[in-house]
Amino acid sequence: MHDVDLSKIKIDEQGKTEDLTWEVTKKQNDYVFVIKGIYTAPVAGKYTFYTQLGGNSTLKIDNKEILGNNWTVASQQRQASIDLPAGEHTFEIFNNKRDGWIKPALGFWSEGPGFRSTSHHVVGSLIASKPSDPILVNANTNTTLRSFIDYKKYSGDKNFRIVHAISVGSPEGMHYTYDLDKGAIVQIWKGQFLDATPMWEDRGDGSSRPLGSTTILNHDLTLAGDANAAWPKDTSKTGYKPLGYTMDENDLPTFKYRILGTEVQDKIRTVEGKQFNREISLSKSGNIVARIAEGSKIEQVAEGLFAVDGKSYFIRISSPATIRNGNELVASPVDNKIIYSIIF
Amino acid sequence: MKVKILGFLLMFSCLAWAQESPKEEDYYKIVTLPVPEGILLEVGGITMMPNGSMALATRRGDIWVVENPSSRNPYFRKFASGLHEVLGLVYKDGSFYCAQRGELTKLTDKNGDGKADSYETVHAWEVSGHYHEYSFGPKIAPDGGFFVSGNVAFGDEEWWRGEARAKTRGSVFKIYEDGRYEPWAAGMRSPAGLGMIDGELFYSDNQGDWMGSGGIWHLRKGVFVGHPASLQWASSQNSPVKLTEEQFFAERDNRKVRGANGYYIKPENVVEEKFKMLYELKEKYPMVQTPVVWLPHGILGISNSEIIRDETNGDFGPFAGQVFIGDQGQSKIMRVFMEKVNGEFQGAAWDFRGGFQSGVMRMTFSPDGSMFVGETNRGWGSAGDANQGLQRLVWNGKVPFEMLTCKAMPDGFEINFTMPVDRKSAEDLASIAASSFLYKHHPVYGSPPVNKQDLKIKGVKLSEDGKTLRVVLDGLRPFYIHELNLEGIRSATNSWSLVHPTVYYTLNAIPAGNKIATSELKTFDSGKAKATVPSKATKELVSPDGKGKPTAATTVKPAAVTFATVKPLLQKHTCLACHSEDKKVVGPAFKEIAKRKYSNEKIVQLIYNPKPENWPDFATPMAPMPQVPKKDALTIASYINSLK
Repeated sequence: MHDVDLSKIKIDEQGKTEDLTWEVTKKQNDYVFVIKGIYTAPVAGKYTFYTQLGGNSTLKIDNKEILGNNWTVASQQRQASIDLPAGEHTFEIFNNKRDGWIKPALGFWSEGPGFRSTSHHVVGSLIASKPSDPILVNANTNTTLRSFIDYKKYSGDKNFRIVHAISVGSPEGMHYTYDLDKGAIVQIWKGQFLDATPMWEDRGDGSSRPLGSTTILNHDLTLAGDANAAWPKDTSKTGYKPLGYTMDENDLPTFKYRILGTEVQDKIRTVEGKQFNREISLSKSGNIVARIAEGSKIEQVAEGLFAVDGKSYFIRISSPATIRNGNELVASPVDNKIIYSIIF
Repeated sequence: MKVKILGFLLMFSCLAWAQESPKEEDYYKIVTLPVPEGILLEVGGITMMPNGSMALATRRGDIWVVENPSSRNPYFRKFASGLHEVLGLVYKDGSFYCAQRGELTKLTDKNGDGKADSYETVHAWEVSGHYHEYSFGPKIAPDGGFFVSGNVAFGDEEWWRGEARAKTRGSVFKIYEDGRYEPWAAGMRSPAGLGMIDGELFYSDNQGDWMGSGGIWHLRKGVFVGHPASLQWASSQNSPVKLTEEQFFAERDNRKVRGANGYYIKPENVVEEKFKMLYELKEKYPMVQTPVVWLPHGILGISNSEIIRDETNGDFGPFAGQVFIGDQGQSKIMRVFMEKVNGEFQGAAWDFRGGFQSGVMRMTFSPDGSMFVGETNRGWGSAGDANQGLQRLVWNGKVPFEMLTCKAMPDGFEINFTMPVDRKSAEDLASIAASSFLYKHHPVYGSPPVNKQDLKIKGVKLSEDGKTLRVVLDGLRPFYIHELNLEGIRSATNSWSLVHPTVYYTLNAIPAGNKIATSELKTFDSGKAKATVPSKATKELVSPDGKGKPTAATTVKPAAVTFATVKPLLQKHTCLACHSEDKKVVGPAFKEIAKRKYSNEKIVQLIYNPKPENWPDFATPMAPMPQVPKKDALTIASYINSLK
């Protein structure tokens, strides 16, 4: 949201600032600023940077975007870590604020080897915005939550907002997000479940975020009608219709949808806290084929075991599966079912 | 023995205060329901179930069934969870239906364990994922279909401009049980309240771009209510709304203008301009629908919500069959009387009951005749300063002195009262003041009231029983809001003044028929300014012991502006809708404004052209108020500065 073409924006003012503050602008809203500076890392190691800005913002260290262009309310902190050698590094903070009801703010902190989080902004720059009390959703029992989910397959991609997403969390600490518009598992992660602060604080923006390091799968259709054609980009001409889900006695969902004249049931379950087993059942098979993995590279590492993106995760499948174009793993239903495991 | 003594004391204190006319809280009590610790309600949907349980939908995505909701210990049972910011809930044939942000969902407990096990997507609609793209509903149509409404998003650069990034946005649409989608009506901005009355669909909107004020619209299939965002989809999705963007913008200036710096300029109200109004568009395009009632912004709410009809047959008081509408920002409920003239609805609106703990979002009637009120302010701020709540409004069985109905007549209005009025007060033209005004139809956020005209009262006629008053006026204007202020009218017994003395009648059409003969009219005018206090005789009548009698007036310092002296002005110009002296409401407290050390002249300027960017902590921008006369604005400014 609120992406702006910086090449088309006229610069009102530029110069040096003594203080790190949003008050380099004269306005409370409708501003874009870019602050560039030098960050001196005393020793080599892992550094974590935190920003707190209202509206759209990015953070670059040595011209590498470590915080992509995301929209937040002013009370939200963002953070990213990077390994830095000792010495001088450039940083660049970009902020584009277009929502009058969001407070102006600029907070910038870092922590690194041997020192705790230290603020670099002046006190006045954050005075209007205390960081929000986080609203975390724990999965102490099996827990589902619908929300918007911001999705990026690769870090340089433009953000894509999945609007019919559901996240499913388990007390084993294995969680996934499912795109109900595609019948696709879009991300899996271990750890805590969700941060719903962006959705439930103040007016909110309808989105939640995984708490943990995610493994990104994809949000294309899982099923298609032609094993030889390029994988469809969207659901057009597939008759795709989401039908919702049923909950079993353990409060775990089985998703249902219709595609290519077939009713589909998609059951995803954790196994011993180690992997997800997925069973896709079709009311009739037709020519349907499933793409069970997609990435930059897929390799077979053992019989029925495939590594995706340099062992970022593995697929285990006992029925025949084929690697297409070196980066897609497809399988046809056996007895109207496609069964496999995702190991990560 | 003790109990008796207490009772006596209570009676005594009642007597002491009886000289003051009773207020709304003397008839309708707000009861707060006990809610188990840890449950955050932020109510988005509320409905009764056939077994007398109540069900709630919350922003956190839960559906709660509340058993024995009127008892001292209601039991909360979680029926479903994990839903996406639900903003409506109905129960039909054993299932709940609710609108999530992006779909209509049917929730069913198939195995009978008290918990939903089937979360069925009836129909999923597209949204872009903008925060403001809420979806409200459903309400059930007579044919079993479900009406749902969709909020607009706002622009990226033009953050003030409502946009329909997907086809359902800024529209009301219908979903059938089999998943079919049918566009129904267009032109909405923030359609937070839907209501079914006698099988007809109504909706409420609030002020914003292209919406001069909030109001209630009647939605027949194919109507357009004023906001152009949804028109971009009208042709492509075979919409029943036969109005194109080209046609709309040929009649209205969109004011999409870039400034010298290359940025779009936010359109602001222009005080001296030739403006247009919504009804003028209707003259050219009959599918344009003007409101059944305007709910004047700042007076009858600022963010209107659920619309329900009183179907309690009198259990909720004398207003059976009338309509109640909630308001989030002012945390209150208004009352509406509708009538049909020339086949179109129009009617009258009054304040009804304020003082709820948070924004009134959803209401439903309990079988016992009380009203459950589901509340939230979700980041917009509200007069009730809690973020959420669940309360119950209960009538105590006493009849308030109110206007029961107000009907349009060929030459004025006919007002029916809940009890006979005092003939002397009613047959004095000084007891009533009338004026009319309307709002602009423009891309600016909200509108000041415009074309305001004071109306001369030609005469009145009170019925034999003292309960019906004909008010004959000059200068009725179709489509205008007619404000009648009955400050001087007293009840026949007790000499009470009206609980709500002001009615706002939206006169879409002046009915045909016989005008009342001048000879039948009473035209006496005492010439007195509208009485604001009951007559002295009354006081002595109700308080014979003389207790509570005001002492002789002490000398008043002429220059001192106090809250008490300025209050009528603040009320008249609707300042108190959003501000109070020392408490943050929708806007900052006057004391906080005083701290800014503006000059009086600067405050006047800010009343005419507010700068919401000066108050980033406040969610709702103040509308420009150029209609406030300079003299009044200066008085208000000096009052504010007296608080330093």
